[in-house]
Amino acid sequence: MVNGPGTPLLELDEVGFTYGQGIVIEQLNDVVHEGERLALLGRSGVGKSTVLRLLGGLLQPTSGRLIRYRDDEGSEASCSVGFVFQDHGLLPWLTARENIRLALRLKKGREIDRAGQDSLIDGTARELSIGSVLPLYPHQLSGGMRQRVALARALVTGPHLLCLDEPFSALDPVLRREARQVVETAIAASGAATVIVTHDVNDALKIADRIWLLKFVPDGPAQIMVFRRGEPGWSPEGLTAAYG
Amino acid sequence: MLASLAVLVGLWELSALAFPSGHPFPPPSQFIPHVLQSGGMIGIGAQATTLPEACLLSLMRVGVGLCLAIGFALPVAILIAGSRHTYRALLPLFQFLSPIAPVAWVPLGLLLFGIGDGTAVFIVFMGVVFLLTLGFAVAIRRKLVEHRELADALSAGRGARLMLIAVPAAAPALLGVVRMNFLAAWVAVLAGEMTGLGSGLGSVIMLGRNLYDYNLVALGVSLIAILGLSIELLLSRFQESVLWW
Repeated sequence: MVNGPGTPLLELDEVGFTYGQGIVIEQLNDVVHEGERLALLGRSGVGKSTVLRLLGGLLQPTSGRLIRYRDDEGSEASCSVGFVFQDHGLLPWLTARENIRLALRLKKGREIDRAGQDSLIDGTARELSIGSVLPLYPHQLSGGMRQRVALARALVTGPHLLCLDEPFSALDPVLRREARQVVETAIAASGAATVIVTHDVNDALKIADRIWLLKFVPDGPAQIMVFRRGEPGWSPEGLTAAYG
Repeated sequence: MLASLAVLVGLWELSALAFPSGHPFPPPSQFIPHVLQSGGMIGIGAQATTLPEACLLSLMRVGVGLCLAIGFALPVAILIAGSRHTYRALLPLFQFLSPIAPVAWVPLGLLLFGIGDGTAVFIVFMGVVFLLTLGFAVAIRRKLVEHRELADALSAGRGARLMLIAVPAAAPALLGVVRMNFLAAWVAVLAGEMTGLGSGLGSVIMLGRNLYDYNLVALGVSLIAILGLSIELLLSRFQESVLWW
């Protein structure tokens, strides 16, 4: 379902987004490829989550075009997106299993019977080591486990694009390292392109192939600096210096 | 809660000292022996009834009226909350009808159903249906907006975001609205039963008034309070144990 890296998935053509009187981004041009891992790095309030929502299709650009190359609504080939929100967005009245199943029930263009759903859920749960918590409700889970369940819900449909909004922000340092490992493994196994929002330079360097560093510009859109793995500046020092 | 009830009853009993020749609203120490003396029978002749029968009849009328109102209000509220347009267009209609007191529906009830159970149930229904619809619609709409991003992320269609996300998310708030309206229904049934129905707790109070038997009035009022509180506590327990989110 997912082609190899190099195939364009999203193309941003002069994309801009304004929110009320504020300009978040302006004239953004770039291409996100299949299987690519992009980190959105920047200080709180700079617009990282807004850009994530634009890329994930939860917001529409107010100017320019955002082309989704697999956007063939309702078919197997549509550009499906899996989201993990900062607060996990798990529904409290559903068990972990039913939360994950919900993504399968709502997936467009693909009817899966209950046995098929269970098999997909169990497979994803095995990958994320959450098999034992599937019968539990979100309030019975730790923060780390809730995050894994949310990740499982995002991955179970086999999305082309995975959007993670500060997935590690609520975790302590030990859990954070563990969660980062889980996310890295899961992303690698899924082959989905990934956009991750973070304000942690180390998270960005560990997970991403490319980083958009969003910087505040007073009374203007965020300035976006692009860093690529292996190029000059791809280091904690380089990014921290650019971070300011 | 038991302590505050004990204080209330204690103050009520103490107030009896201020009326040595007869309390206008006799405390339990006066009306309980009065009831025991009559063996739980109230009234005379064709109007005679027992206390359990009066309680059950009132509860039955509240139950039927409230269930009918919920059965009407829930689908209508889902329809109203489902889109910004229906919410804006239809909600004011229910805001307009909600302030009408249950007792205002008595003449229409008598006209439609005459003196009987139908009128009492109708008054309960009319007394709560608009407030229920209004409360349900606001609660569901709020959850729909709150969960919009999640629903979008899951590609949920209009029906799914309502029935699988917004309505379950609003369930505790919906039960809260039912609890508030149960008390309103309880008030409404008394209005219905005071129309000369001849049965139920409302007519116990009316009988007491007609016979100048204030023990009967105090008994009726106390039973209404106790039953209302007991059911409210049961609903609250249900909410805590089943709809905890």
